[in-house]
Amino acid sequence: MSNPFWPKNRQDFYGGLFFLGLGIFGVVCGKGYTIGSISRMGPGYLPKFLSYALIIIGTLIAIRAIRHGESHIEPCYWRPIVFVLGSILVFAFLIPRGGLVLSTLLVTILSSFGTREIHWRNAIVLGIFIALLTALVFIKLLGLPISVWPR
Amino acid sequence: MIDILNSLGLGFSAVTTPANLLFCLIGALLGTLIGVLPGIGPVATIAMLLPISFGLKPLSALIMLAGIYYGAQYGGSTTSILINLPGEASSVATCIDGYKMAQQGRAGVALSIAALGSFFAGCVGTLSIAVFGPSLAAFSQRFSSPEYFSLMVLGLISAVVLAHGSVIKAVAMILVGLFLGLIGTDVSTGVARFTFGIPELTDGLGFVPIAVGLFGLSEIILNLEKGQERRVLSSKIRGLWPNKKDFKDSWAAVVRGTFLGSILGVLPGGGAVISSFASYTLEKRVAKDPSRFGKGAIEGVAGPESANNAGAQTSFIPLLTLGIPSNAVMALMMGAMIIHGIAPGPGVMQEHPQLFWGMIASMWIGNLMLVIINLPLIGLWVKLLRVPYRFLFPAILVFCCIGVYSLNNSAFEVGLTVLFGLLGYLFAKTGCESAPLLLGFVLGPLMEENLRRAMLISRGDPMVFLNRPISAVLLIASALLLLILILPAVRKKREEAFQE
Repeated sequence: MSNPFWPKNRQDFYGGLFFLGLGIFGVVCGKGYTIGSISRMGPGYLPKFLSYALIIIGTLIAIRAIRHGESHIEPCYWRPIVFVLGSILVFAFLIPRGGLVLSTLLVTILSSFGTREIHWRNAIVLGIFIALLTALVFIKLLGLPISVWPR
Repeated sequence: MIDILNSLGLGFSAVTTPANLLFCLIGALLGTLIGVLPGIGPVATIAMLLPISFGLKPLSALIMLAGIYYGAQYGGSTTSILINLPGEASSVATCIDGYKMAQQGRAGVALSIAALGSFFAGCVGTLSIAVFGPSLAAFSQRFSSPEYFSLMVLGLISAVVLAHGSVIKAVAMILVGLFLGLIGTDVSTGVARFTFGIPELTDGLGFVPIAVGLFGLSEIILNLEKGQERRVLSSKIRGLWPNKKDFKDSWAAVVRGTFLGSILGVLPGGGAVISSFASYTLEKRVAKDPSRFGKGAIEGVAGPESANNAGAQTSFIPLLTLGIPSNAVMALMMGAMIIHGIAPGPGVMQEHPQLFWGMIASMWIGNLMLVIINLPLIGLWVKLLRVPYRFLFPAILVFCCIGVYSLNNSAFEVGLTVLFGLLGYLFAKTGCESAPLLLGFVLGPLMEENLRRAMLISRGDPMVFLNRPISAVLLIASALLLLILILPAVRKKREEAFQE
């Protein structure tokens, strides 16, 4: 902690780096767009302006964070991130062909692993319950055009 | 005056069809439900239900979505008072004295004062929309592109002022939002920007995936990390009705809170959250004996609860009359209107008078429903709180998935939601607020269009923004706001205010 080069304000430091990175991304990827003039702005006028603004503000935040203020990043746990986000990715891949029941069943069961507090048997029961409930509400009552079963 | 009464009459006749009353009730109940449940707020809920409301008539859809917002203000107070856990950010202030009152066996009194105060505030809020809406809309008829651009600048800057936490990071988040708004086909030139050849991106990033990801998914992940622990107050709620002294102590706080909330709600960036905090601070200032606060002072419940409901109502004014959303929920309402083919702004009142006045009338009816259904149903809501989070969050996730997918039947947008869920999580870890981002994202394309048009008309002379009086006033106000924000003394005050 006594390292003078280590940023004291971690939150701001990493936040600043993110803004800086997005700005650089905007400049690099937006190179091809015509800038135009102020009276006739091309498609690249605002992207360029915003990208540079992000670079400036990101740098400012990050530099200020090295000395100014104090904060730390609270520890991240991989378990909820992986299972919550993973279950939704599975849904995205499955829903076009796999049907609503199978997809919601998998989302429920997989996401349940995001916490240690639930037993896998309960998760399966919960999954079946939610799958049937959503099929009833969204297909029967609201009539969404999603297929119920795999095809 | 007669005009307003006539118009309100039109609104009430539009709302009092069985279907519309039903959707008003559904919205109010859903709002109460998510208000009671911590970990899911009105932004994520409205975003999820947006696609589902697609099949409804425009008025029914908007009535329901609006009901969710003000219903959440009612529901949020219940959990704050009973278990010291704010169901909504706007009820954080209520926790302080509300929970203390519950511990002293006065939970019933706190709950009914909160509900009655909210109802009073809701009535006043509805009336102020009816009174001030038309004149503001008429005034904004004189607006053209420079004025609209300056107004949006003012909106974004006040969003910064009223955001929690670091000012400079809020500015950066607005820039990120504006940048995300650029993605897609440029309207004026037809050039595809930052689409990387992905066909789904040619129409721009979807609004729903961003909102559900930033406000829904990330919230769930953060809740799971914390491990939720809930202790519901087990003692029975007795004596719902406040006595004479309670009324005497709280009516002034209700009126002050309503007034404050009504004003703060109209300001861009304002709304329910800021109103409740401001009201709590105000009540503490004006109290004869401030030391009672934090120990179960009834004013500490009456004021903030009235204020957040008033703020929730009046924040519809800028959207309905100027076409500019003042906070994240209004940004969603704007999305809902556009989906239904209604351009938000001064035109709404003339082109769709039934819709405009119907929505206002529905708010009053919704508030009445909330008072009537909420007090007897408190027991039910408390029971719902006993459902463990581990059974709740998978269901919320499933609703998120179906909501996003059914909007365009696009699996790509579900993937985008995951990306924004991760981003929202990282933002939370680095102390960056997501609300300014969403506002920037919604206003970005509008700002670019108006800026371009203004520059085209003035042949590239930026002085056009200062030569036109309305625009100049708006810009000067923005500059003053920024200047005030930078002054160290004010900054300290603001930090104090958010701390309380």
